[in-house]
Order: sequence, then C-alpha cells, then structure tokens
Amino acid sequence: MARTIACPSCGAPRSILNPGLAMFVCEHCSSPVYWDEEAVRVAGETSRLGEGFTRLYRDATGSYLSHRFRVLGRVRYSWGKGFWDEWFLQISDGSQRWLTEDDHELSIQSEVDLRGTRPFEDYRVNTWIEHRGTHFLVEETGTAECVGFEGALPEVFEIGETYPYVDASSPDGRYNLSLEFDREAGDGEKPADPPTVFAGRWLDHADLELDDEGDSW
Amino acid sequence: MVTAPPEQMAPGAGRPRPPHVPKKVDCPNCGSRLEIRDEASRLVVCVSCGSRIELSAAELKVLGQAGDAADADGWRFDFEIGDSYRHRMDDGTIYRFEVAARMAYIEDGSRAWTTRMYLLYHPSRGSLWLSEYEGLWDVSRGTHVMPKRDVWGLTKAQPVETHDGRQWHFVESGTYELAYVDGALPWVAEVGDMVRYAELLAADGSGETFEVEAAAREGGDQELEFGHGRRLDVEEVRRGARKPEIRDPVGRREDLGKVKRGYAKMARWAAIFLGVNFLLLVYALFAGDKVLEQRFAASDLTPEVLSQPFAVSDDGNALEIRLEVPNLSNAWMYVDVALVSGDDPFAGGKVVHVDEAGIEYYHGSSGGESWSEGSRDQSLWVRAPEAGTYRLVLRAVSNYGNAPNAEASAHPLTIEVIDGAHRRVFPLFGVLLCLGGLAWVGFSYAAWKSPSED
Repeated sequence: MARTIACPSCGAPRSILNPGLAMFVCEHCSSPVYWDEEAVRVAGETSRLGEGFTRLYRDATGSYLSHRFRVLGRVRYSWGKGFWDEWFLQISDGSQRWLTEDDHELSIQSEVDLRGTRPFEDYRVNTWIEHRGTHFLVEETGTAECVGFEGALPEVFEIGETYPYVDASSPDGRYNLSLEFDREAGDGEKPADPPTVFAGRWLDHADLELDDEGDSW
Repeated sequence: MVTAPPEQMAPGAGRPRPPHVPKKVDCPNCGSRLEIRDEASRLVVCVSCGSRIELSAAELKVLGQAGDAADADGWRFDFEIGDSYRHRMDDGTIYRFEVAARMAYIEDGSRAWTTRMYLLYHPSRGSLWLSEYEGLWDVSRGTHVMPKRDVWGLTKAQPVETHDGRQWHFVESGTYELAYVDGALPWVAEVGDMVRYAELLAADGSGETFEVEAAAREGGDQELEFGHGRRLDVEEVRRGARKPEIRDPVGRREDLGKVKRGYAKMARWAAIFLGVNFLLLVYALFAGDKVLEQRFAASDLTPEVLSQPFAVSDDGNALEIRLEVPNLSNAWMYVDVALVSGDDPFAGGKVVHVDEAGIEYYHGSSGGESWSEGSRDQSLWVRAPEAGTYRLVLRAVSNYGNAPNAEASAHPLTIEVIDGAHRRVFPLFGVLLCLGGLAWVGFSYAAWKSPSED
C-alpha cells in the first residue's frame, strides 16, 4: 500500500510505493528525509548530486543479464582522491541489489553472510578471503566517506559518514566481495565487528541495457 | 526485502533520461569556464592557466599547477583533449570515445623513457586507456582476472598463466612516475605519483597484453589493478583517430614467442650438429684396421730400416702411421718415413709417399709445479693409391735436451699403421664448435632474459 510522506523541510509530498525504504531525498529541496513509527525527520546536510550525464539515473528502468530493474536511489562515496556511486536497484523478482559504478566499472552486489571476518587492520592488498568455497584476492583497502545521495534508499545515510572497506575479486575476474566496517562518523572509534559483506559479480557495460540510453554520443 | 509493484519495472515505466548537460565549472584561479563531459571526473586541469582543480562536492579546490601549454607541447602528445577515437569493441561494434585526459609517465627520472597515456571516455561503454611508447600503441581496459603467480621479479619471456586459463609471457616490470597530467580524471592524480607495473604478452601471438599495477595511497592504503588490452599498429591508430599525421614508431616490439622459438631452434640445431660430430668423432676413433704394429730398436733406425709388409684393403684408403717413442724424456727424435709399394721394395717397389715427423717431449718442475711440453707420439696421414701390399722405410735420429744434431737414434720407436683410418681432428673441432655454440646460445638467452630493473 502506498504511503505519502511530506518533506519536513519544504512540505513537498512524496509517495512511497516500496515498503522497506528507509529514506528519500526530497526532489524539491534536496533534504534527506527518513522516518520511523513516531515521526518524519530530516537527516543531516542536504545532498545534491548532479545528474544528466551518468549512464544510470534515478528512476531509470532497464535490465542487466535479463533481470529487469528500476533505479530507486544512489549513494556516492569518496575514497579521498576519487569517488564511486552505488545505485540502489529494485529487481523485478522483488529483491534489491546495489549496482556499483567505480571509474566506469560496473558490478552488481547483494548482502551476504560471511563467517570468520577479521578486523579491518588485518586485511592487506594481495591477501585472500574465502567465501562459499571461492577465494577472493584483496585488491583495495581504504576509507569511504558518504558525500551525497539521491532518490529512495533502504537505510538512513548521512553525509560525512565514514567506514573502512575492503574490496576483493575472484581471480577469474567474475565475482567480487566487499566488506564494509561500521564506524560512527567523526568519533574515531575502532571499527566494530562484524563487517557488512556484499558479494556479487562484475558486469560489462554490454551486460547492462537501459530503456532510455539517450541521444547518440 | 523490498517488494514493489512489477509495473514499476516495465519498459517505459521509468522516468525519461535527463538531458545530457556537461558540467561547467569556473576555474578558481583564472575564471576560465571549463566543461566536463564525464560526470565521474574528480580532477580537471584548466586549459588556460594549467591549474589542477579538485572537483569536490562542496567547492572547487586548486591543487597546484599541471604545466602550461608549452609544457604539454614538450610531451608531444598525439591527441588533444576532446579528440575522438573510434575503437572496435570485442563484439565488433565501433564506438566513438573521447579523449578525457592525457598523462605522461616517465621512468628513471628521464623523459627519454616517456609513456603517454590517454583516458578515453564513452558514456555507455565506460573508459579505455590508449598508451603510446616510442610510437608503439596499446589499448586496454580494466579487468579483475588475475595472474596465478606473483609477477614481480620475473625474467623476460617467463610463462605466466591467468585464472581465465590464458597463457602469457612476462615482458618487463618497472615503476612509472607521473610527470604530466591534463584533462579530467576520475581520481586526483598528482605529478610525482608512482605506480609499479608489470607487463605480460599473450603467448599465442595474438598481440594481447595484460598489465598489473600497484599503487600506494595516502594513509598506507593500497590498490592493485589489472588491465587487459592489445597492441595496435600505428595504421590502426591513425584510422581510429582519423589522424594520418601520427608519427611512425621509432621503437621496436619484441615478439617474445618468436625470440624464444629462435633460441630454441638455435639450441636444437647446435645439439643436432653436436650429436652428428660426436658420432663422427666416435666413428673416427674406432674406424680402420690395424695392419701393422712393429717395434724398432734404436740401433735399427740408422741408417734405415724396412718394416714388415702390410696390406691396404682398398684403393685410396687413408693410412694413419702412428709413431711412438715411449721413453722419450727431455729429448727429441726426427723420423723420415717413406711408404713403398710391393712386398719387396728392392724388387720393383715404388715409393708412394715420403714424409717426416719431429717428436719431442720435455718435462720438469718449476716453483713446485710440474710442467710438460710436446708429446711422445705423432701421426702421419697418407693415402694409398691402390689396394695392395706396402712397407715403410724408416730412418730416425734422436738426441737429448737442446742438442741440435744427432747421428743416430738413442731411442727405440714403435709404429702402427691403421688402414682405412679417419682423421679425428675435424669431428673433434666440430664437437668443440658445437659446444661453444650451445654455450653461446645459453649465455645469450640468459642475457636476453636478464631481470628488468625495478
């Protein structure tokens, strides 16, 4: 059943068709809005992410590897010298996925359970992580900072939140694994265990089809 | 789990694509209006003043200079920012990419070792890297396929397999230093950034390349990246860029597989010739029949002596006449030898060949070390014109030390005649030559494969 939420900042109404969403960015005033059983609130700084020349965009529809999807939202993270986008997708089978776009490399991921994780400091580039019988080589470690978001998202994000991360890939180049260690923004505490783990596969651009690819380049 | 009405994902149910509007920013340093076509750009270099500008979400931040136009000219880029490059993808479709950024990497601090790289961008096909070194071009894109072994510290042409089952040859490794950057990049590159790389070449001769790069980041973080691409010939680049003026290569690519096969071929032939010569040597050592062995007392050798008769089995047979003075010690012997035909040389025999031999052998010790010079034996070679019976007529004189003359022989002499003998010196020379050749191939190959400087 649809629910209508009024932006606490500007009053603009927003229909929430998808249960399980936890926040949205008001399209009128860019305020991040979240709600609970008691109230609707604005969470932190406003967020404005440019659009128009990314391949994916909010409320785009398309398919990847024959799975239909709709883009509900996006979160942008910075690793210091660059950034990447994580697009929140609603899939036609009712599931949700994150489509990561990092320097034009695409991967589709979903949250998984991973046992035996270690503290972030124990992960090094060129070391191995095992998940469901597949070994993944750590390619990158770093600290991500949330620098913006848009659309509707399944959890509450705040600009400025940071978390250490570990990215790994299977050596055949097909699958990937990401570990996100929770850390509350700004307090410098050690990351808490266990990390949130996402597993997925790399996509070629040809694997992704949008219903509206725009004018010819 | 988020459930949603399926009609939300039906074709056409989505929002129309917002118009593509390149981002426009004003240079904080000089005010020039800059256009950025790749939304993922994080660094842009002002074309007017050369300022490196970080495009953070909050504000533009000038990071410093990346060099002025003259400096760009000094790097001799073949492409300008915004130039098009038409590239045929794996599915055969040609897409037009745009040059979004240019970078110049050097090695060992010298511009003589410059690799020019161009970031090519397409909104729905991602990015490619076009690189050029000494007029030799490659195109590549990122991959997550990994090599099965550590590629650092390998030697040239060493085999490497990747986890997709492909076979490669190690080409080289080294460390790049970023010396120049302009355009717009998806990360903040800084002049002085160091990248460690290793390059592999497909073993199947397809010209495909595989590269591994390791870069250090601030705060101790690191990143490992892999790239898969292929070599391009300059004509292909000229067509893709529609720039016939792109320079001819001055460098030369090594076909590692061809070089390896060349060395293997040389080694194979050297081994074959070694084998042949060795067999010839063995044959020469044991060929022929001993048809005469006779010992002469010293007193027999002057004025002259006639040997026992011996038979030569075939016309034109080579005869080896071995002369040995077993107890020659710090002395010399001079022997005249004549080959005469017929059983009785005094009854119509004919002198077939006349020869001479000087045999000397000296030895001693000096400073606690033994030495020797010369030999106690010598061979003479003669060809018998026809089969039949022959004898040798011998005359020898010998003396001790450096005495220049002698009237008679002071030493006995033993002679052997081998019928049908073969000279051993030629196959022996062949064996030594082939061994030398094999050694040269081995050292040359080792020098060619010598580890890269890293």
